[in-house]
Amino acid sequence: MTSSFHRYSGRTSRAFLLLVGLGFAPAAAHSFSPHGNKHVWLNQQKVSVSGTVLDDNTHQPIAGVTITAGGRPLTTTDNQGRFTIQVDAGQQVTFQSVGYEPLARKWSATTTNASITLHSSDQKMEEVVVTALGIKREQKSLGYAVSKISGQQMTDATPSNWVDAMKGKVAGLNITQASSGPLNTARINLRGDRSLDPTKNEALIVVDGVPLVNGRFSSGVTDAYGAGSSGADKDIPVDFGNGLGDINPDDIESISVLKGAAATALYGSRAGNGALIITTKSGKRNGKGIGVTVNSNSSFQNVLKWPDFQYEYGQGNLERNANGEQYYSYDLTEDGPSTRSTSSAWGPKFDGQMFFQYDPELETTGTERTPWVPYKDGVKGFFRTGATYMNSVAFDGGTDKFTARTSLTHTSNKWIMPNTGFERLVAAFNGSANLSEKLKINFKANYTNKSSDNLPGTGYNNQSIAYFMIFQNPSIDLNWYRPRWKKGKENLEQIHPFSSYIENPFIIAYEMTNSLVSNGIDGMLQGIYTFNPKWELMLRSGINMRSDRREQRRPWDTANFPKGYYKQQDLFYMESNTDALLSYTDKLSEDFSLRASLGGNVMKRDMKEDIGVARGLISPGVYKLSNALTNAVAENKLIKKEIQSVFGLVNLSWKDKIFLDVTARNDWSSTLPANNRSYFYPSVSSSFVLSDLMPMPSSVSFAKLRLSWAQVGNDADPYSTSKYFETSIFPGSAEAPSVLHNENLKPEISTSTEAGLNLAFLNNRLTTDINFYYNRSRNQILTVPLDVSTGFSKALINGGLIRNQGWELSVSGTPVKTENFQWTATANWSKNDNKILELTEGVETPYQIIASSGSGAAEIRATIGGSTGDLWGYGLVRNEHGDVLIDASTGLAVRPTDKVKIGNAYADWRGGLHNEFRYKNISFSFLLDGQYGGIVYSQTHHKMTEQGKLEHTLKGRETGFIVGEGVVDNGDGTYRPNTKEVAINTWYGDYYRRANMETNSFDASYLKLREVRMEFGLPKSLVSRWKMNSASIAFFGRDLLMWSDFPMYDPETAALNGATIMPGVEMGQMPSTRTFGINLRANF
Amino acid sequence: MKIKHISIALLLSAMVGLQGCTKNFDEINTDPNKVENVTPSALITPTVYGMSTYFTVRSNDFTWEIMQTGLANPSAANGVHRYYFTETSGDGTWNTCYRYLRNIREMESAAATSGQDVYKAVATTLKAYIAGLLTDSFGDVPMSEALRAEEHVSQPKFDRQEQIYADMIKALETANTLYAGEDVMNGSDLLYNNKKELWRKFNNSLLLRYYLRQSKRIPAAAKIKTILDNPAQYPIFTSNEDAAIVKITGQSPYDYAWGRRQDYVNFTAMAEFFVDNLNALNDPRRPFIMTEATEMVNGKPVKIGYKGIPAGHSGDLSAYKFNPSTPNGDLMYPEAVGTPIQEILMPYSEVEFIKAEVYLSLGMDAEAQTAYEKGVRASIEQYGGKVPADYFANEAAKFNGTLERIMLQKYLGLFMVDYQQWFEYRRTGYPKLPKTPYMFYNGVMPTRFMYKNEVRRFNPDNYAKAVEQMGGDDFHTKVWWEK
Repeated sequence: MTSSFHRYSGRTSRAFLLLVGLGFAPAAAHSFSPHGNKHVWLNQQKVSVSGTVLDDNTHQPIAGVTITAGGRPLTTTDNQGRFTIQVDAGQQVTFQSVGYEPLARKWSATTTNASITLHSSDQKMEEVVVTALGIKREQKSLGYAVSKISGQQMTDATPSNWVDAMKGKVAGLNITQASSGPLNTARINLRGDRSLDPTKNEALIVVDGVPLVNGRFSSGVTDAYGAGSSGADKDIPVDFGNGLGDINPDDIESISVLKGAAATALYGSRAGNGALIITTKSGKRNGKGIGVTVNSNSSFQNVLKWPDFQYEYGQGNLERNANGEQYYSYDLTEDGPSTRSTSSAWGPKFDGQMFFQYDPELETTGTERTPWVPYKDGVKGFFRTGATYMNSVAFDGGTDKFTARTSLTHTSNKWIMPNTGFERLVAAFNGSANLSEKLKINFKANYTNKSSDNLPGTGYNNQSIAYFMIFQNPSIDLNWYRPRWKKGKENLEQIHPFSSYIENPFIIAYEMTNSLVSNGIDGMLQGIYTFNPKWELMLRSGINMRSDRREQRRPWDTANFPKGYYKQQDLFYMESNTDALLSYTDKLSEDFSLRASLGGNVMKRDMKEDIGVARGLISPGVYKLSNALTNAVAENKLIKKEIQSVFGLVNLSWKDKIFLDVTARNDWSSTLPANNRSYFYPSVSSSFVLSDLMPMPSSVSFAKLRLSWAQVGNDADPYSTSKYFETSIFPGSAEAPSVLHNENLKPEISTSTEAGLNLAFLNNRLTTDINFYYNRSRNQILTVPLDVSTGFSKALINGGLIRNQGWELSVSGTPVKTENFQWTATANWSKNDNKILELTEGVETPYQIIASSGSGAAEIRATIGGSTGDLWGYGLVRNEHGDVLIDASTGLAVRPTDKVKIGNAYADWRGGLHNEFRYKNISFSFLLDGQYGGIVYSQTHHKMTEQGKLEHTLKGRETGFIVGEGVVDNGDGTYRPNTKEVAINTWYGDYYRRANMETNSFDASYLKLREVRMEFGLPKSLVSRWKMNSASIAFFGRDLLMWSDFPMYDPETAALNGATIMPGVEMGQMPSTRTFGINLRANF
Repeated sequence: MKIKHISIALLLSAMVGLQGCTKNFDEINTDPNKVENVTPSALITPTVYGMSTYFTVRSNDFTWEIMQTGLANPSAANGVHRYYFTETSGDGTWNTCYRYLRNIREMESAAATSGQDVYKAVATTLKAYIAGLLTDSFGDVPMSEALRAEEHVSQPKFDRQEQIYADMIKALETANTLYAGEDVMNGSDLLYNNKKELWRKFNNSLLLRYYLRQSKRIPAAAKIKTILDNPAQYPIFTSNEDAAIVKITGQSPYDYAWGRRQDYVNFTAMAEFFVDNLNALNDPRRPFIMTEATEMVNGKPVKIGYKGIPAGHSGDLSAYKFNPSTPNGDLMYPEAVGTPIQEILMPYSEVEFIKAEVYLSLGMDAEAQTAYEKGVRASIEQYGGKVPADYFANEAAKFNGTLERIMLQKYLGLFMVDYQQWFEYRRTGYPKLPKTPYMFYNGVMPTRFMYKNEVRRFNPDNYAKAVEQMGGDDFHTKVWWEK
C-alpha cells in the first residue's frame, strides 16, 4: 500500500545530482593512457643500482621488498629498506611487497641513491586481509567479500567520533546516528536489517581478535518522545557513547569489513550481521632504534544547516485588540490582556511598532513600550564554535626478538552546544616477543578514560535543547534567559518568562547536566607455538571491561521536575573470550595445499547496573541521594551469559588458483533451554582465480570469481525461558509479567549466499568488485503481540522470515599516473532490498510494530511482503483523483481512520566517491557520499509548523486565513472545491499535526561533501635536517556541503529510544556540524 | 609427532570438557534480578495506583466531555463532547483493565498457594471493580477464559454480560464472608493500609453498585434493601473515611496522574451544563473544581464568576466574549508538590445516592430524602467544603421526590470517578443533557466502545460470536443491562 508522498520538491533532481556526482567511472575510463613501453633496448650493458625503498605515506623504509628483473628474483631489501642490484640497462625491475602496489622502474645508467616509493594498496589483489580469528589471508583466496579501510583513511579528516570516518568508504556499510551530541553513537549495519528486533541488526566489532563491548546502555528512558509523559522518569535519553566510539583512530592499522555470514561464521552468533575486524598498529622492526610519531589534530565545528526560520511574525496566537488589529502584550496592559503564554509565532508582524514586552531588568512587563523586532540569534546564538583537539604520541621499535608500540592520545572536545563536550585519554600498548624459534607471544593492553561534565539530552522533551529550539519565539531575545534564575530566587525559580513549558536554555545547558566518567580496559594475551612448519597452536585470552559512572541532575522548578531530580547510574560490563586454535598446514601434493584448524572458544559476559534515584530533592541544587525528598530508590540489574563453542575450518587451495574454505561451528549458549542449547552451523566458500585458470584478454590483469554459502545461528536474550515478576517502583510490590516467556525457544538461523566478481584491468590501474548476496533469516526469536485479554501483551516465539538481497559495487582506478602526479579515484555503490516473507507461523498477525515514537505518530510496522523499515502513520484522505478531502464544516483535512504506509526508512541505494590527487609531496583528496531514497518523519517539522516558526507558514498571514487546497465530498460521488476559510493557526496545527505522518515526512536523499583534505609533506631536505623521517601538515574539512530536500537540520538522523536507534524518525534533532581542521604529523 | 598427539588429545579433551561445563548454564540463565513468586499483597498497590491513575485521567479526557463537565478548548472539530468516537476510543480501557486483571490473576493464585483467605477476598473485590468497568464499557468481554495464555488459551471466548454480572455478584457475596474470617492483612496496601474492615465495606458497596446497575433486567431493590437492613452482615460505606479514595502525594513513586500541571490545566474549559447546575445550587464545590471566568472590561480582565462554554459547540466561539472557567490545577496537581490529592475508585456519596434511589423506588420517601441529603453532604465534604446551612432551602437543591433530582446530585457526586457518570446516564437517562446540532449521530450518545481492533485479528471466531450475541459491535449497540 502506498500513499502519494509529500515533498518539498521533486526527487528526480536529487537522483540526477547523485548520478552526476558518482558518474565519474565511465569518464575516467577514457582518460587512461596506453600503458607499457614498446621501446626495445638493444644495449645489454649492465648497470648497478642501489637505493632505498620507502612507504609513500609514512616515508618509512620498507624491509623485505622483493626485487625481480625479467621474472627472476634478485634480492630483498634489508631492514633499512636498502638494496643493491645489478641489472641490464633499460631492463624492467619490479619492486613488490605485501600490502603495496608493485612498482616497475628502469635504469639506463648506474645509480647510487635511487629512491623508490611504494604506494600502499587499498583494494589490490595481492592484498593481505585480516579475517575471522585474526587469520591473515591473501585477498585472492577469499570466497567472500571483504573491504579494507586503511588506518590512514580513518585519520584523513578526523571526526570527533572516528566511526564517521567510515561513511562513504565501504559499499554496503550503513551508519545511523541520532544527532545526539558530541559522542553521537552509531548503529553500524551491513547489508540491511536481518532481524525484526531492531536491537539485533548491528555488526560485530572485533579489535585484535577480541570482540569489543559495543553495547549501548540506555540512560533509563526508552522513548525519544517524552513530552507530557507521566510516571516516575519523565526524562529524555542521553547519549553516553559506547565502547566503539572510544577506539583511538590513530592506533588503527586497518579495518577489514567482513560483510557476509561466510566471513564471520567463525565468530559465532554475534557476527551474523557481519563484522568489522580492527587491527591496531604494532611495533615495527625498523632497526633504527625507537620511532616516534607525533600527531596533533585540531578541528573546529559549526552548524551545517538551519531550518528556514521565519523572522517576520512574533509571538502570539492571532490576538486582536478592540480595533481588530493584532497586538502583543507581555502582561495585562492598556493594550490588552496578556499574549505571552503561547509558544506559537502567530502574533503581529514586525512592522516597527511598539508593544509592552518583557523587561529582563524588571523580570516582568516593561514600563514602556519597546520596538517589536525579530531576534535572529534567538536560537542560532545559543550555539558556539565547537573545537576538538587530539594530540597523540606513539613510540615504536623493536629487535628481531621483540617489537612494541605504545601510544598516548588525548582528545578534548567542546561541542557546539555550550557546556557540552568530553575529554578522553587512551593509552595503548602492543607488544610481541619471539621467546624462541617456536614460541611467539603477543600482548596488548589498552586503557581508556573518558569523562564529560555534560552531555546533551536528546529527543523531544522539556529538558532537551532541541525542544527549546522549537519553542523559542522570533520576538524573544535569547539574552533575556541568560541570568537563569530570578533575582534572589537562585535554584528556586527559573527565568522562563513565556510559556511554562519552555525551560530556560541556559539552565538546560549548565544545570540539567548529564555527566560521565568512564574507564575501560581491553587486554589480550596470545601465545603461538609452532611445533614444526606444519603444526601450530594458538591460545588467546582477551578481556574487555568498562565501567561507567553517570549522573543526571535536574533542578527545581522545571516542568517535569517541580522538586528536582537526581540519578546516579553505575554500569559495569565485562566480557572475556578465551580461544584455542590448533592449525595444520601442509602441501598435500604438488598442486594441493591445505590448512586445517580446530578451535574452541569460551565467552563469558557479566553486566551490572546500579541505579540510585532521588525523585525530588529536599534542598534545591544539592545533588546527593541523601537529599532525596522521599527515600532514594535503588534499582539494580545483573545480567550474565556464557557461550561455549567448538569450531573447525579447512582451507584447500589448488595451484593457488582455486581456493575452498569449509567451516563448521557448534555453540552452546546459556540463554537457550537445555534441549535447544546446542546448535551447529556450517559454511562453504570458494574462490576461482579466473585469470590464472583461463586465457584472458590482455587488458584484464586479474579476474576472480567468489561463491559462498553460510549459515549462522543465534541465541536469545538472557532470562527469556522462565517466568519472572516485574519489579515495581512501589515498595513491597511486584507486577505480573507482560511478556509470556518461552520454555522451548530455538536458536535463530540465518543463511546467506553470495557471489562476487573481482576484475582488474590495465595492470591493476582499474579494479572493480561486484557482489551479489542473498540472505534469509528464519526462526527469529521475536516478541510478538498478543491481545492483552490473554493475560499477556507479548509472547516470545520463534518465527519470521526475512530476506535481504542486494548488490555492492566498487570501482577503483588510477586515471593518471606519472612520476610526479597521480590521480586515484574510488567509487562504491550499494543497494539492499529487504523483504519480510513470513511473520509468525500459525498466528494471524497482519502486522507487527517493531518500533514506534512520537506517541505512536510514527511506527515501523512489519507486514508480510513489507520491509523492516516501513514507516506507518496517518496520512491525508484523498478521493479517486488524488485530491485531498476537506471537511466542509470545519475546512480542515478529513482524518483517516487507518494508518497507512507512508514510506520506507531505508535508502534505495547509497554511494560514495573518493578522489585523490598527488603531486610530489602534496596531496589533495575529497569524498562525496550520499543516499537516494528513504524518508524521515520529522517531529521538529510538525511542531515548528504548528507554532508558525518556519518560512512555509508565512502563507496566509496577511489575511489570517487559509482555504485548504482540496475538495469537499458532496455525498453523491461528486466533489466541489473547498472554500471554507480556516484561521491559520488552526490550519497549520491540524494539517501538520503530529499524527499526520504524511505531511511531516520528507525525502531523505542527500549528497554530502564528506571529506576534503590537502596535505603537504615537508621536503626531504628539511625533514632530514631536523632529524625526522617525515613530517606533514594537512588541512581538512568534514561535511562541508550538503544537498538535500530535508527541511530540518540533517536527513542523517534517527530517534534514540533509550538504547535503540530507530531509523526514519527525527525526534528532537540537534544541529549537525561542519568541521574544519588542521593536522600536523611528524615522525622521528 | 609426540607433541602433536599430546596436544590434539589435550584439545579434544578440552572440547569434551566444554560440554560438561554447560551444566551450570541453568544457573547462569536464572534471573538474579526478578522474583519467580510473590506474596498476594505485593500486587495490591501497583494495581490500585495504576487503575486509579489511568481512570482519573480518563474521567478528564472522556467522561468530562461526553457528560458535559468540561471540554478541550479550543476545539474546532470532532472531540468526544460532540460524540466523536473512533474505533480505537476504547483501546486504552481494554488494555488497562486487562493489564491489571493480570495482576489479580497472580494475586488469586498466590493467595491460593499461601491459603490466605483475606487476600482471596481482596482479589475478588478488585477484580469486580475492574471487571465492572470493562463490561460496562464494552458489553460482553472475555472473562472466564481470559488471562490464561500460560495454559495455552490464546483465544478466550467472550462471556455474556449477564453471566459476568452474575459471577461478580456471587464472588462479592463470597468475599464478604471471607473478610469476616480470622485472617489479617499485612503487606503493602495503598488504598486502605491493611484495614480489612474497609476493604469489606468497599466490597459490599460495589455489590450495591452492581445490583443497581442491572436493575432494569433483574429486580434489585429488594436485594439491596436486605443489604441495607443488615449492616452487621453487610458493612458498607458510612462516611468519606470509608470511601475507596486513593490519596496521592505527588512524591515519587506516588506521582500525580498527569505528567505536568499544565497538562491538566491548559487547553480545557469547563462546560456550561456542569457549571450552570452548580451555579443554580450556589454550590460550595465550585472553587475546588474550577477557576472563575474572566471578561475584558476596559482592557482589563475582570472576574465574572463561574462560567462555562457549551459542549458540542459549532467550533466558532467568537460570540463568547469571556474566558471560561478552567480546571483548578490544585485539585489534581497542586502547585506545592507533596500535597495529597484524591483519586476516586468509589465515593461514599454514591452509596447514599444508591440508597436514595432504592428507597424512592420502594416508596420510602423520607428515607430517600435522608440518603439524598447525606449523599450531597458527603460529596461536598469530600472536597473539604462546608455545606451552607441554607443549601437545601434552595429550590434547585431541595429533595423533590424525583429520580431526576437524585441523579443530578449523583452526577455531581461522581465527578472524576472513572466512567460512572456515563454508565449512570445510560442506565437512567439522567441528568438531561442538552443536545446541539454539531453533535454526531444526531445527538444520540454512544453507549459503548468498539472492541479493540486487534481482537478481531487475534481472536476472530470468538469475536464474531460476541458480535452476534451482542447484536453488533457499534458505538450505539446497547449492553445487556441497558436494553
